[in-house]
Amino acid sequence: MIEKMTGTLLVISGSIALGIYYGWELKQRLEELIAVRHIMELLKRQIQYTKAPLEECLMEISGKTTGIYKNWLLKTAKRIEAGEDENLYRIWKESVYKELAGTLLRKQDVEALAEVGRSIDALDCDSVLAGITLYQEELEETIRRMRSENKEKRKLCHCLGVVGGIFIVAVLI
Amino acid sequence: MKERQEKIKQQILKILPCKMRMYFERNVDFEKLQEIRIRINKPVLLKENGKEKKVVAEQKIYEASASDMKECVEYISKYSRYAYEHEMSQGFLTVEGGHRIGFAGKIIRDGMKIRHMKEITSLNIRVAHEKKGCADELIQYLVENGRIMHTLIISPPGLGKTTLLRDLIRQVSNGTRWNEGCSVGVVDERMELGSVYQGEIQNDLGIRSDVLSGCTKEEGMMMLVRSMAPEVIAVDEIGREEEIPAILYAMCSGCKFLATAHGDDLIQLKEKPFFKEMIQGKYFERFIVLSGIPGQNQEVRIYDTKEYCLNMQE
Repeated sequence: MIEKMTGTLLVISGSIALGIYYGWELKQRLEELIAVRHIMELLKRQIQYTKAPLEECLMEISGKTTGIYKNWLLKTAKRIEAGEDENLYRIWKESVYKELAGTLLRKQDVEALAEVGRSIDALDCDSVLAGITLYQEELEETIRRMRSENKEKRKLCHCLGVVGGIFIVAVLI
Repeated sequence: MKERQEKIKQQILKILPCKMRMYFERNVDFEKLQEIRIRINKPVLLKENGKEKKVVAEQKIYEASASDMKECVEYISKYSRYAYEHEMSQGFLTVEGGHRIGFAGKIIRDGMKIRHMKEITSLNIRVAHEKKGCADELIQYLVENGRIMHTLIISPPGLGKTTLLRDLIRQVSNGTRWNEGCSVGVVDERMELGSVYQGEIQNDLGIRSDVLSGCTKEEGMMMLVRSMAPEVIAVDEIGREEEIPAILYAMCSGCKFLATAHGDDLIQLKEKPFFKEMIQGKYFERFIVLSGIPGQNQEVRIYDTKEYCLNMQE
């Protein structure tokens, strides 16, 4: 009997934890996207006002960010400085995939961010800024959608965690 | 000296296409290297002490491909061509170390104005050398009562005007046994004199020099006079009409003037409308004329306002 009780408790608490984790993941992804939006705004402003080379812009922005994003910006700037590849898009893409692997951004978020590398490889400032603006608009739309959906989705995750746990226990018993 | 040469070597190798780097690393004397010319589907040429050489790779004369050119432009612009719109619309830009890169390609126009350049077909890398002490013998002729005089350095391209001006700035700024050190305002439009890179002046311009880079000479001269109160103003390659009012303004403000100009000699320079007025009006008190090949048979002549040569018998 005690074994059954312990098992039941473990299954239910495990499934609740899973529900909470998925809810937290949704919240965290939103926060990560907001951080990316902030970086893109800083990058845009740097390019617009200083017209400095990308490497210098990234170095400057890295001083205004923290954690994994700071590291990503610094490493990208260093790769550009070292001339690791003859193509900027490839440097940027590789850097996004490699350095942001530890974030909770989804595949489509990372892919969209990697594509910014094509926009910034433009001949003139206007095209670079237009490319970033386009990405920002898409990002803004994703953030807006997530904000409106996240509350319900998180609630659903929590409920499913509890109900799912009870369901598994019922099936097993 | 060796450290400086190593620095130049690394700066140049960094902007060359990967395929060419090996050759340059093994076969080129960076102390003598003056320029590299890369043209699509043509042999890569370089000039060492005035002598032209072809780049040879695997016992064949190396011809630059379109992808070599693209790679090179990416490295030169640090993958940020947008950041050099203004420079490329003028046909050149200056990279780390003060090396000037000239371009030829397809012009992008915006009405009457040149906006940018794309499809680069040729480029010319001019290696900047900092030669400390190259003005040692000259400074005594340029000083009166311990103060430097308005001086114009004249020579055709590639004979070392900028190198000489750089050393003059350093000596005027630091002071020598002929003159006391004084504040020098340097307008470094093409970033060749001070080679400011990421906020650091890479060439030694002396302890009393203030460098304003990235702006036009006329804007820079006015700004420096108002903000930094320099005793001497130094600029490279004057010659545009818009610069006259700023030069006169700086001179009237009590600043002494150090400048360079393209020309074979004083006679030829006087044929140019802008300089005719400047020379006849005796705005400049000393003229330094460079001729011959640097490191081989170079001659440096210094003239006064009466066009009398001060350092040689003619």
